[in-house]
Amino acid sequence: MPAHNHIEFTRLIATRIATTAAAADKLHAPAGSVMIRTAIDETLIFPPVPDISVDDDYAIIIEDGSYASAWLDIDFALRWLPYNCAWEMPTVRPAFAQGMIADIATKLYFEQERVLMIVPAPYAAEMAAHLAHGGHA
Amino acid sequence: MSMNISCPFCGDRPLEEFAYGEVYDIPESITDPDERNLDRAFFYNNTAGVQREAWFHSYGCRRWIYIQRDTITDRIVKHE
Amino acid sequence: MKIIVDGTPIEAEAGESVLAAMLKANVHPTGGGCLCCGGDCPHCLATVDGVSYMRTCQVHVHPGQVVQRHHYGQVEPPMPQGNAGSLDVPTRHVFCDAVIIGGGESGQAALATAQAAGQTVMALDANQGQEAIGIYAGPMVVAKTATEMLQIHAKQDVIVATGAAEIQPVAPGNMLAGIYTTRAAEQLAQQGVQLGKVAVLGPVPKNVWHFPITGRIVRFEGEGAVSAVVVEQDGVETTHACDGVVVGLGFHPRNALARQGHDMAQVRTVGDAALASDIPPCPVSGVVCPCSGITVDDLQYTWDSGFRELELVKRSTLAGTGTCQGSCCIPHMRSFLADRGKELQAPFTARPVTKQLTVEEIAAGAHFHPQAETALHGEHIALGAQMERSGSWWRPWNYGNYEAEYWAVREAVSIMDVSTLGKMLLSGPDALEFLQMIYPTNVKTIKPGRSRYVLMLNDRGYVFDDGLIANEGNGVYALTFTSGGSSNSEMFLRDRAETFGMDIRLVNRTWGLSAINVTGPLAKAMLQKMGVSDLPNWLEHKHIDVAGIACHAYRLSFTGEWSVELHHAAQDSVALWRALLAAGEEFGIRPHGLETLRTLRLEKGHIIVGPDTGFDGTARRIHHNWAVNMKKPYDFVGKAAIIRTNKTELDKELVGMTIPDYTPIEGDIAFVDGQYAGVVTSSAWSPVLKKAVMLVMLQYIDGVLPTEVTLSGHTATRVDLPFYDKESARARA
Repeated sequence: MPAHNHIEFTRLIATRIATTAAAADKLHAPAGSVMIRTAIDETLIFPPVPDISVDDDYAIIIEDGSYASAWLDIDFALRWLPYNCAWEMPTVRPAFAQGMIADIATKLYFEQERVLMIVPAPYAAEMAAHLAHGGHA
Repeated sequence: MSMNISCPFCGDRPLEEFAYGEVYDIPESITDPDERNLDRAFFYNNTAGVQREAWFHSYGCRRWIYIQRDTITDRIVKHE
Repeated sequence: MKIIVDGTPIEAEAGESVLAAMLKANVHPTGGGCLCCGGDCPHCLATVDGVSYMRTCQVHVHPGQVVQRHHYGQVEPPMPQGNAGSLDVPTRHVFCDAVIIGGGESGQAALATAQAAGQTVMALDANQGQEAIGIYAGPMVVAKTATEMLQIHAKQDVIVATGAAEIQPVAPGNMLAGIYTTRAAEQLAQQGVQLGKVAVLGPVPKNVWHFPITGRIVRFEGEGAVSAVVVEQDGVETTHACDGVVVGLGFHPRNALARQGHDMAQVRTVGDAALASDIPPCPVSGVVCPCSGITVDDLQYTWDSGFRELELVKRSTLAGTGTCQGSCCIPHMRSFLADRGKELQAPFTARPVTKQLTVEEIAAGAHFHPQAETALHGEHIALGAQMERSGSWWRPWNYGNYEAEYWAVREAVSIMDVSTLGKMLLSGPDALEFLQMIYPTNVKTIKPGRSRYVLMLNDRGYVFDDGLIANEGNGVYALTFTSGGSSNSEMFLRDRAETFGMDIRLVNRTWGLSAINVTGPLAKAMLQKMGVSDLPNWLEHKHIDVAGIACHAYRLSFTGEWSVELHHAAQDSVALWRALLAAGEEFGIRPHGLETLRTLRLEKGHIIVGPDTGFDGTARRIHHNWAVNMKKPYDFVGKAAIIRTNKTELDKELVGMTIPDYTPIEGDIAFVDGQYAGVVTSSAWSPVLKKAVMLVMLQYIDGVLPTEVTLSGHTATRVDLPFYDKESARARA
């Protein structure tokens, strides 16, 4: 059973954008930032891009610290996830996926060599404990 | 341990990720001034057969999705 | 090697089954019953190495193995148990194209076909210790292995190749030792078990000293073990003396898993598991279901009582609900019901699990429900807080001194972490229109910079949450909800936005926004000393800096004292909390927890939605008609229901009551002249009023609302709300 004692979650400060699906489709994150579409009408970009332009007069654009994140080594992640997650991981890279992992609403951003695990900040301590324990208690 | 629901945004996910919403057997709102659907607030149909349901993807995109489920066999017959 | 059986060492040979070793030592695991050696019957069950209900025919011996018999028929077998103290059985999820259950001939053929087709395959072979125990919707196959549980998600095929079981004999004496199926006799002989000279009915097992018999089994005779078998042919009964009996009564499919997946297109059954069952002659007498000890007489009684369907006979007798899940009894029950009812019924519904699991295996993969921590969690712990689970959150109940926390709020200054409140931001072309449809207040009259307490009603007009609307200007609204209700409320808002076709933008920022309530008669002075000069007025809200931290400040009061709620970015929360505690030191500041808050708000008569409202709290019942504007030109959610229910007579009301010298528990029942009169929804001793104060959902009795009730022998008197500071001068100061 894979376990990892040294995962530390830090608060993820991001620009969070609630806008129409059409406007979200047109969003472009600057180079070096990560943009994930968390819902049809919601997008997260980090590091923050406070002056991003959105084609929607009513868009809500806020700096947001709702989530905490930690990078996991891809090999460890792919060994650990089957013990804690009842859905199939994407195989393309980069990829974004979200769903329940160890009973916590989790988002995963896959790169070639690593995975960013994003959890609601209030649940970061629980997730770190799951990772340290091997994740099944 | 159970069936999957296919979220059009997030993909196939286990039922546990979703919160059961309502039965959507009457499309109009019951706030209709004619009160024609007010009974729906107090008396549920308890359909035996296929009904339209809303489920909220609590652990994913946190949006509503709609399915048709056969309450007799407990199988999803259609994802909308 | 030696193994220990019921405390006595017996000889065992490597490679043989525990059952074989026990039989060689003349010990029958359960005392009797027809052995099958196929894992299909309950006659070889014992506790092996601390795990109960092990099929000893399926377990190999090892040195030092400890076996305890269940003593079938004498005392209750022990509850299933595993290795005490360990819950470390993991669950692993496997995704593949096909799963093949069964390692026999048909399973191997299916495996070869699947591999040739290029499918990714998971093959489960019980003989290799991979036992499928259920097919769930999906389909998903759950299996146990020696080290972990598997949840196998097969995208294309689930092939059930579990083979067939041999039919057990039903006749008087069928629970004696010395009865074997054909396969069992062969396997036991192969392992060196001396069966003696056995009478063989049906196919002849290899390498067994035997003589053949024919006919229908009338009964088995003997004391403890079979010494003779009586058969009947053409009306003539013959008694055959023997050391044992081998019965070949035909086969029925091992199809419990197949039946679980019968309505799933992906599940296919192959080989013997797909064959039609042999149906034995209708049983006349004897044990039909050895797991539950159900006899033919029991079936007859159930039939005579009017139960005609196999499903009902199962429920009535519990035949088929035991260890073997119907493997022994189903063919005989079907035969019995076909005889009485002239119709062969299908086997009863099969449900997971098909094999016994340990508690650890059942719990595998289960997580404790995760609890959320606010950004101030570490601060609370450092201050010695007693943390409690409240909704999905850890919250401070108190910091070790409830009384001191209470008086800090009433007489000095206090802070409370209210980060758990639901917090959302709303905009969009239809934002105002949407709020008008959702909330029962006239949202249009909430001007920018102002906020208002609001109820949330469902379609029945019942209150399901409350909170605040703050107009941020430019068509943007900040909304708050209760700590427990925010997720539900988000679901509600998003649902109604779709139902009403409203063009809105909505962000739930509960996790990212912390909040600290600063309250008490000295709170304002403290903040002013911190350099905060532009505090909002009563029911106003403003964006201000406190200790250099950007805050959205709301003037409202749940405690009854002057209060300002400071909403701020969660990453700034620790700094703000510490700055407030430092600045408040000279004012006698002390943080307070939920325990204090519950008393403070109760003294003011403020409700907590849920405990005080119940599931059917209308605005009328909870005295909140002032929060419902029936005149505004919107058919808001709940309005139609209110129009209807307001036509009925009011049957109960949430009222304030007091007792001078006794504090009832919440949930206590109120009586008037011995008649039920209501229930206490909130109750506390008021330190400032020096009496017990409570909210009671009080029933009208003969059209009159009682003025006095009895609570646990004490008289409670109805009073007007609030109990404390009736003009709310302190809160508005």
